[in-house]
Amino acid sequence: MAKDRLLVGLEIGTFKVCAVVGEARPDGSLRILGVGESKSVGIRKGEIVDFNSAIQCVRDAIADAEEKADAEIESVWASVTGAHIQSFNNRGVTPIPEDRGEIDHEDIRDVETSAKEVNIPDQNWFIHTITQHYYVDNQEGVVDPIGMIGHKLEADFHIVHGVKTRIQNTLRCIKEAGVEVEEVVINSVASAQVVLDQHQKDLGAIVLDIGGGTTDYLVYIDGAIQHSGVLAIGGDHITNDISIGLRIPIARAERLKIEEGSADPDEAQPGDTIILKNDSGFSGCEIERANLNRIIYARVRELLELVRKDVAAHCDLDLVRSGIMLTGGCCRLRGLPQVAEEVFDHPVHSVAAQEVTGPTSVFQNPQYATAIGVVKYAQLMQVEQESTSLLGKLFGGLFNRRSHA
Amino acid sequence: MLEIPRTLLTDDGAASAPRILVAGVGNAGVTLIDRITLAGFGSALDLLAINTDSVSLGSSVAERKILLGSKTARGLGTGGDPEVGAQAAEEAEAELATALEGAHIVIVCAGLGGGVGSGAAPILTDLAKKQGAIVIALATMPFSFEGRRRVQQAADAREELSKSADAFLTFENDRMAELTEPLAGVHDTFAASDKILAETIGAVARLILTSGPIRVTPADLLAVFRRPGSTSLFGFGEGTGGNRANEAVERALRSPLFAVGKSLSDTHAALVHISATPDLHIGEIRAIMETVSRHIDGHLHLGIGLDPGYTSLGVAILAASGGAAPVRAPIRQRPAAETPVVVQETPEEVPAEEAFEAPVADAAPANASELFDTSPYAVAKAAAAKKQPKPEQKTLRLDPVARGRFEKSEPTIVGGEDLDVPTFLRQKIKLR
Repeated sequence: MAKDRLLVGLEIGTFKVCAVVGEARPDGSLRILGVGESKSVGIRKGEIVDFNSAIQCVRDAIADAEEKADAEIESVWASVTGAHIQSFNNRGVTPIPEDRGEIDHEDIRDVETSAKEVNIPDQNWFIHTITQHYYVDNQEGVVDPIGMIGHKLEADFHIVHGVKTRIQNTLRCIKEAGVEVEEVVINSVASAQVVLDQHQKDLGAIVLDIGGGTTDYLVYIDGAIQHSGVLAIGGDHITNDISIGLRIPIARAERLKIEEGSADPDEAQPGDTIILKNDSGFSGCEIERANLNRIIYARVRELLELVRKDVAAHCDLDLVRSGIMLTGGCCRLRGLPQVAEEVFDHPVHSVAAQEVTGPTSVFQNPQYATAIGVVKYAQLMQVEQESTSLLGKLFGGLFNRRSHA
Repeated sequence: MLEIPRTLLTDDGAASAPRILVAGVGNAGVTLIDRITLAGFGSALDLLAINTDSVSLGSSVAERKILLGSKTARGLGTGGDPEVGAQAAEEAEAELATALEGAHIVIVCAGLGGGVGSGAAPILTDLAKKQGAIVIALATMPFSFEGRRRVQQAADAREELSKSADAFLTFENDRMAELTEPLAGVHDTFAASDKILAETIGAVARLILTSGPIRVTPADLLAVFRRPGSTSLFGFGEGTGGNRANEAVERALRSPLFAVGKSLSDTHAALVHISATPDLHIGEIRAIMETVSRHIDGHLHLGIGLDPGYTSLGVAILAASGGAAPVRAPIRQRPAAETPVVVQETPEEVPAEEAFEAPVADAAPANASELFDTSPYAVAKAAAAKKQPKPEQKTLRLDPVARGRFEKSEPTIVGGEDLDVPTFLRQKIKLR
């Protein structure tokens, strides 16, 4: 069993490919052993556009992680994202046979199957079927129905689905790089595992992971995932806007965004200029700080408003009582939390992975929240699997892992 | 859903010309009223100046003036607070209603962002709407340097106005600088923008009041703006001399109120009005309509007004883009692609035909009938040709769209907007 306890999370991001090696402790805690990273090439908006370059990036990141953690990586848990990923909520119902009356694992599986009996596009795959609430004979708020007696089991599920081939491309890329894939998880579900604690989930929270190419968001209400979504806009877009608006090369725009950029339009004084030194292939120029901030503010505000609109269409924002958790590489942009506060009218916290131990430099960086979240998710899923397989043996039933069917 | 106002239906046909009331609300509106008066449009229009500031009203040359909120604002203005503006307007509601009485078309002019413009204009629009008039709102948006609060107030007011007004035209002050030379004085710059707005109002008046072979009725206006939630666009251009038709139409299409860069291809209906001296000939009309249909892929309504008093040929284009599908659209029920439907055959156009029979003494009848038949036919043919699937036609934009590094990637499209294009370009945020 000890060997199984080494878990690797891999995130193929638009900005970087990142592999995190973690060790699951018997007490349920997670310790990060090492993080491998390589700069992404051939990834746009969270999806692979140049297959061979992407394989090389994954290979580099895995090799780096093996070196840092001093371990050999055979398999990983991978996070996926992309504009094709969609979600909805659905309720499943299953009757409990009269002669038995007691709810067992098979009923749980049946209720999940019945919730999945909906039309999703042919080319799509179920990625997650996440339980929100159980109801036994209309009794609300059942946490674990196994062993309870009733005639009817109902459950609400949050179902996430995406285009099969696009997910398969990610999986193939990882396999080509020489490691197996255990399971996939979407970015926002992964991030939420480490940026939220149970208390925050119960109070209601929005996780907003603004990455390089996509913004992944997830809403917890009353301890259950109520909504999730992906918007294919991220830091890359800000850089692109700056590059077009100020007529400077992309690489220079990226540096300018990180070093000087702010999403606060009132920060710059009139006449405040930034001098860009000449570079190879770039003759240098002087730009107005107000222009830079204005470009960033317009993009950031629009992005946040789109997210807010989508979230408000699916959930009651008043039920989000612990506020917005901002994570992902882009949340380090100055002024972004203030804009988010303005848009959502909720407290906004910039957070990174909290629920882990290890080198602080890693988990205090919001860039790694997703990859660490994947490891945490892997840990939780393994605990769940073990408990079911143990019980499974006892009851003699057949159990599948909760996975993409 | 727009309906033909009752006040117009009870009129016994084409006997009386529609009455147009122009109401200037707030400082910007009052200045505009003055400008209209000075430009000489005043005689055909009822002008009404509305403000909370007694000084500004006192110096206005408008015939009718209403001082709002003598209690709430005590004649001193609102201090930029729309709440105060709205209260002041509610206080004077009875007076405003009396002033609006009998008007068929009400043009509400305001500068949004301040107290009266943002607060009182929506109330006035509602009042006019209740009285059954067609309401056209014409507003200027504040400069972005005027501060976020004003910009926000203006955006809120815009939202409200676009809900209640039948047509809503905005002009962004930020774009003012484009109209004048970079070193022009402040006064010249403001004058240039006021001139554009005054011209717009003049053109709308000219469009409705001038009689001609194809008259524009208020029903035509409604047909263009029938789609709820659409954005109104307006362009006006004038031309003189031998090439006057081309000159005028090019100017109209380049007009600042057309919001340069906004894709006209999204336009679903447009009203093209040509006003000229009676020597206007058929070739000129065809040239104009062909140029317009190259840019606008939607139903075109044509109107022609002739008056010996005009010194130039004017082309006004009123268009509506975006918005939800119309609830009731008689034009749509016909298979437009099968037969070359003459657009002017729509029910709304019947009065135009009547008008053609009666008052045209200036134009030779043979010429006029030819004009009525062939020109719209050509237009409809052009429109029908547009219906054929032509991929390169669809991507045609007035301005090249910059997507930068996302040029080749799958576009992120939300609500019909390509979000890969920089936000500041789409929102037309001015960089210095």
